[in-house]
Amino acid sequence: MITRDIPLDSMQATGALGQRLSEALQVGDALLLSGDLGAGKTELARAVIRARAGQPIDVPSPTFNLVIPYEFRDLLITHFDLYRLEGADDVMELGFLDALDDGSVIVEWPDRLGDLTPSEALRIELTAVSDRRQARVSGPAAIVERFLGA
Amino acid sequence: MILAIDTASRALSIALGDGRGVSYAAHQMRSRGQAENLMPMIARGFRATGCRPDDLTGLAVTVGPGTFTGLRIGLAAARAMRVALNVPLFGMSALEVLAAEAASRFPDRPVLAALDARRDQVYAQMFRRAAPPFAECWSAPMAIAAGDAAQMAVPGTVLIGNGAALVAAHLGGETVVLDGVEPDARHLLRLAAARPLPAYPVPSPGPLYLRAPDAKLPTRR
Amino acid sequence: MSIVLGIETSCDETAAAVVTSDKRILANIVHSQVEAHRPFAGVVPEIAARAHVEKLDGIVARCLDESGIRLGDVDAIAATAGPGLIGGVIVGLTTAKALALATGKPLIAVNHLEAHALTVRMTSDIAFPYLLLLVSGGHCQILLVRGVGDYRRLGSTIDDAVGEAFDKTAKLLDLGFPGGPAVEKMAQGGDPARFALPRPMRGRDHMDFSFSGLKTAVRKAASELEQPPTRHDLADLCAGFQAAVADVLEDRIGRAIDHCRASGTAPTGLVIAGGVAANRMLRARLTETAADRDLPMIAPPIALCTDNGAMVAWAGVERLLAGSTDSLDVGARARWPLDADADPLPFAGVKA
Repeated sequence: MITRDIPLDSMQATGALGQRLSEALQVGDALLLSGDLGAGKTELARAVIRARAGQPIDVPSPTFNLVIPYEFRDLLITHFDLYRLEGADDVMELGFLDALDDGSVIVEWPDRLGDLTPSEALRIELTAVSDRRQARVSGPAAIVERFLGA
Repeated sequence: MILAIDTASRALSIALGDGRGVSYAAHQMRSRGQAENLMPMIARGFRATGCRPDDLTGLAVTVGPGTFTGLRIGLAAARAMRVALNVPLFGMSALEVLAAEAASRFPDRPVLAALDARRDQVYAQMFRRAAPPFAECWSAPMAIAAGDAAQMAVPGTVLIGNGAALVAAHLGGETVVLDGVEPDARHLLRLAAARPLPAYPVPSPGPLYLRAPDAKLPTRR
Repeated sequence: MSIVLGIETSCDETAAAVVTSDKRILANIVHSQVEAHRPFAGVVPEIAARAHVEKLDGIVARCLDESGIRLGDVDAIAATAGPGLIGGVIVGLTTAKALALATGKPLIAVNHLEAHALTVRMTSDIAFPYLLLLVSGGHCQILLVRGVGDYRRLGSTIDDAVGEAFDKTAKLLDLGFPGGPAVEKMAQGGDPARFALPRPMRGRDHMDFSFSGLKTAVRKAASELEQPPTRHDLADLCAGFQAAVADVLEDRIGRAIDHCRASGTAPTGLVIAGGVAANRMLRARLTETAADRDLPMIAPPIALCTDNGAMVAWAGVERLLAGSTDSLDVGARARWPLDADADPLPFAGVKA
């Protein structure tokens, strides 16, 4: 398990991180985005999805739908917002495991995953400390390095 | 002519036929795209048999257990066709359809039908006999741990379904394991065709989820 | 004359209607699931999908009964194919496909947003192009409606929809679900100036919306109240929230009208649709906004502003007359922007 801190002091920085994550994204990957309300989870998810799309497509907040699929030529990305859920049983029924089988997932509020949390996931904790936003990226070394380079 | 539809699990399966046999069947293994491919598949069946929707005298559909989206696709399609054509609709448990297939290969053996419900759970039902027209059940259909399902098996039991191997892992020998099998509309058709039509209008069958809807009452946050 | 059956299941209403091309609604049945979702203070997708599959065939049958039209006599079957909660959309679209296959009638896969955008043409005589403010629990956007199938999105929310902001505010203040009517009722008599709430995006040089900052500010203001809050406190906070929403909508719509005129398009009117269009205070403010710019504000009757089958059937009529029908392998779509060139179609092969 290793950890990297990435400053996110501009929209450009968020976009650049989204770009790097999207380039490495493949079937079975899980990006777990945690952080308080307003920490920028949806912004980062949007950056990843738009980078993969290659254009600024619509990426609404999934707060209402809970789950929104994005089908690209070579990859299905499913964007989850688990805020309104209680735990793993609820997540199951949103088709979480199927989404992971069929493509990659981006999850906001991943603490609700409980025992469904994939062990090979990339965790990204978004924090704002005295107005300086940063992403703390952690996970198994091989995963972190695949996404962010050695 | 009866149209049988199964989309409840990880297959897309239809059959057209009657009590004398199956005149058309198509079966695709797919867990996605069922909603897009079901109607074109049925339309091909009609073309291949020269049968028209108006020729149908009955409909049959698996009502679950299975994937929630999958079983709703089959049910929505079958229930809509019932409204359009005003013919009887048989709703059948996917586990019973699996058991009928096991019985067609191993007559008179007890059958344990099991579908993978994930997280080491299975949807399972134990049958004493499962040949059409009516199965003799030793248990209700349920969602249980694979290990608990295994306890229902008696010597000589045939295990069938995409959860059969999960259950078999908890058992010694003395069982036949037909793993990786999805419900097949041909067996659904055989079951429906073998049963006498009810003499009164029966309400549309509902889904058999075996699991409660996701959200539980939220605790305060 | 054409007759179309329309089916709507994209959120928490199970609905069907029969509508004619000469603008008559022969039957329009809406079954609201609001009671099922109320305990969760929000729409739960799985609960919604379960209810749709249980109810829809009965509602279709009853709708045909009431309309006096036999299924064999309709000219097309239309259903919402997106955007929306995908589990429910699949139930409605699959039902429509099966009805179409069984009867040999054409299928029309309707964009839910397009249905909202065109409803006003069934209820009023209005010429293209017009501005549409679509405000509901799942959507918040400003569209320029130039013709059937010809839409330009001028702005949309970058985070929450406005109806969602109402629901969240109501949940936060424990006012019940759905939040829109609850907040509106509580706001009556409240002092909108007591709490200084932000007006996100106001004055910005574009036509997008953002409501997540407003939501956070309401949360903060609520947490600073003495507990439990008095009715007076709640009324003031709701009034403040509603005033902030009104200010934002007014600013964005005003800008959209100016933008259209500056770029050489004179809209014939401002149309509002979606559940939030039922809010009387917001309606009044938007009527003023439009009047200030010499534009009529036109809203379909409230029952046709919220989700219903008649709007889908009407969009089906418009599509049918335009010669646009769909094949039986058309897919349901969780996302489906109206201005199609803004978003590439998903690659069909991925589904296999």
